[in-house]
Amino acid sequence: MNNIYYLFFILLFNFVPTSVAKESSKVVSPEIIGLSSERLARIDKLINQQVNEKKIAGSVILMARQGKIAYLKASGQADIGKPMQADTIFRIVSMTKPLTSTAIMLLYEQGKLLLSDPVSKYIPEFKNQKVIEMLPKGSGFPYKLVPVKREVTIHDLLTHQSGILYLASTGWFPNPKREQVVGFYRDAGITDGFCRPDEAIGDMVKRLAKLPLYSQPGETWEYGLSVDVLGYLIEVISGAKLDTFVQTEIFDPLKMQDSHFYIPKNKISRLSADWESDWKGKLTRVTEPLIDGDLALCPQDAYQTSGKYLSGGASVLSTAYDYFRFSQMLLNKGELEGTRLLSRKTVELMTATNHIGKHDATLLHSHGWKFGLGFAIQQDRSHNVDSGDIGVFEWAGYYSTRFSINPKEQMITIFLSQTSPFEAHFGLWDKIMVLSTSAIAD
Amino acid sequence: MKHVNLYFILLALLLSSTANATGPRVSPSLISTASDIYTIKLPPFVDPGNQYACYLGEVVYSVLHEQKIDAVLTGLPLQSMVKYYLLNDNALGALSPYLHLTVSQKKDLIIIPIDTVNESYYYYKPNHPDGLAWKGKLKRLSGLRFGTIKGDVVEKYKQAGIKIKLSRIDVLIKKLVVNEVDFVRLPDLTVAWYVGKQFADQKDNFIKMPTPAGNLPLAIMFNKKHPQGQINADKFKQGLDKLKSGGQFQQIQLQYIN
Repeated sequence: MNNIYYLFFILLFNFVPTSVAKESSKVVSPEIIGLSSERLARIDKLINQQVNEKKIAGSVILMARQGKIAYLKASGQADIGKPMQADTIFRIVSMTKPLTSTAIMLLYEQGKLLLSDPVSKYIPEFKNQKVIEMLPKGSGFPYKLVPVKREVTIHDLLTHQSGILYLASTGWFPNPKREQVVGFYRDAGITDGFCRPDEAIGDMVKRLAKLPLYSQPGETWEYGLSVDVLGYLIEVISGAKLDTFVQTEIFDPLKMQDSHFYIPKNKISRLSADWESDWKGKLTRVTEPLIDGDLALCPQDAYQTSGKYLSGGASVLSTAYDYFRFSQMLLNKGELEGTRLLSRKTVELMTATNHIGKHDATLLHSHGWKFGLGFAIQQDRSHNVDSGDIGVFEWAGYYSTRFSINPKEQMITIFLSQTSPFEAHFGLWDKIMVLSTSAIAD
Repeated sequence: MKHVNLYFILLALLLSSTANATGPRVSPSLISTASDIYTIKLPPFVDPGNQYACYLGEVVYSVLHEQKIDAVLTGLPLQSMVKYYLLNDNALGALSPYLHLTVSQKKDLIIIPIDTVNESYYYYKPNHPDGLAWKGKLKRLSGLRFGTIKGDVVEKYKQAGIKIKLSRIDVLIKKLVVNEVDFVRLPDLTVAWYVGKQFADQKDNFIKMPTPAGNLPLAIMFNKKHPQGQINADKFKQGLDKLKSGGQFQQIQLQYIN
């Protein structure tokens, strides 16, 4: 009998490799794909310095070119007494949005929707929406509500031109009109999706639909809860829960084995802690919700193993390797390792340089960055963001995660950390992008 | 010559307005013709997501249909928005629950009472195993947290030293359970509805204080400032009287109230 157990363990450890081993085995010598090892080592130095100075607790960085990973480094710690691993799981928050946008495009390819469809075709609460207009000071009432000139479309949601806000935007771009709209959100129990309330996303979306829009559809670029609405739209059109749809239509075909809306029990130990940094050497493990005005972050909610709330804009937990697989599918124009998820034409549509006309995607970037169907896209070099190339598309997550895809150089860079506040890491990210791009040696 | 004629016909077709017109790529009318009667959600009395299967919804739609009043019940998540549409946007009407209008706000409204329901104070037993000492004097609840909705009249609670915690109606019961509030005031049937939906397995833990908290009037209000306000109010009143005298009202009432 003992021999049987012995044989079982031998088989287990020899034929079921761990994720780390699996990922490491895929790393090739940088020189094979036209990258300089010596120059990539500069990233090690940069990150080690950040960790030593306690600006971040740790990170995982992945760089790939021509479909091959040349750099996969875990640095620092994932939690107290727990070193960061290549397969550590992160709250990727808004990096969920490209996944949800892709799910919408899958339904688009199946002929189940048009991007030009009004959202009310599927969610009736979006019919007869109103837009807020502030009245001059001294008026009897502070605002009036006017009818929409046209309805919010699925394209508006994909490109953040719906007039739907994030509550947290009162901290980014304060003004009385925004404050008024967010006041409605607060009273109606709308949340940004960074916490996991005990309700189904559809209930929240239906309330949101009845609240005034910040601007007429198509008239502004406002980063907000639009992709959460898309998440519910997927449920309505597909008849499946958002997590089930994304699992079967994206995670499974792309073999993204460590991506989840709710963490499985057996993977909780792989989930990174979240850290609050003053970026001057004080680093604290976060154990309570982080509240800053209208911004509410609940990193502890990621330890929940089940729940009702499925945010298409923020709920996914993932690893660098899994997100690389998703990014590589986009870079390959819809295909990965023989599995075609999207058609070439659909990915070209998603990554077309400008879906937002005269507007700019200035939240994380600058003027000259436009927005595609799920991510910011660099249109030209007339901006002050150091990194990138024309056509680069990328997005980020609130706990300091970021990905960038460079079609011209066939390159993917993924940076995953779990450090708040988010804004402080822009400089670090830009440096990583400069170092990764300048490692190109062909 | 025949060819010339054929070319002429083809050219005429190509240049005709019919051939050029593909039609504007716009959706049908954005606004329906029916006037709005706004309301919040207060099950089982008003449930905009299930308008024909709630008490007020069934009464109101029966009368609207019978009297051929072109209006729809439109649910909103906030009382403040119902008030806005009624008072600032001259909407046709609104249902009354929790609007708390002032006398001056009511002067342009025609209020048609439909029914009155009992309200009680409730607490969650596991958080207060010894019970709450409410016997009609609010001061006995001093220091406790009263959960209510924004816009409610809360002066008497504040004067009694009770802390006010604002919330949405649909999460008040949850707030009792997670101990964010100590007691709430709601219609008995609303508590039963939410407990049934959210905490069916622990309904015995929601304790109604024996002294009644008061009554909640259920009414429909028509706006005199709306072009059809007065006419529709008259028609509605007539229709409601007919519904009551014909016995249908009592049937609907029995279905939901008992």
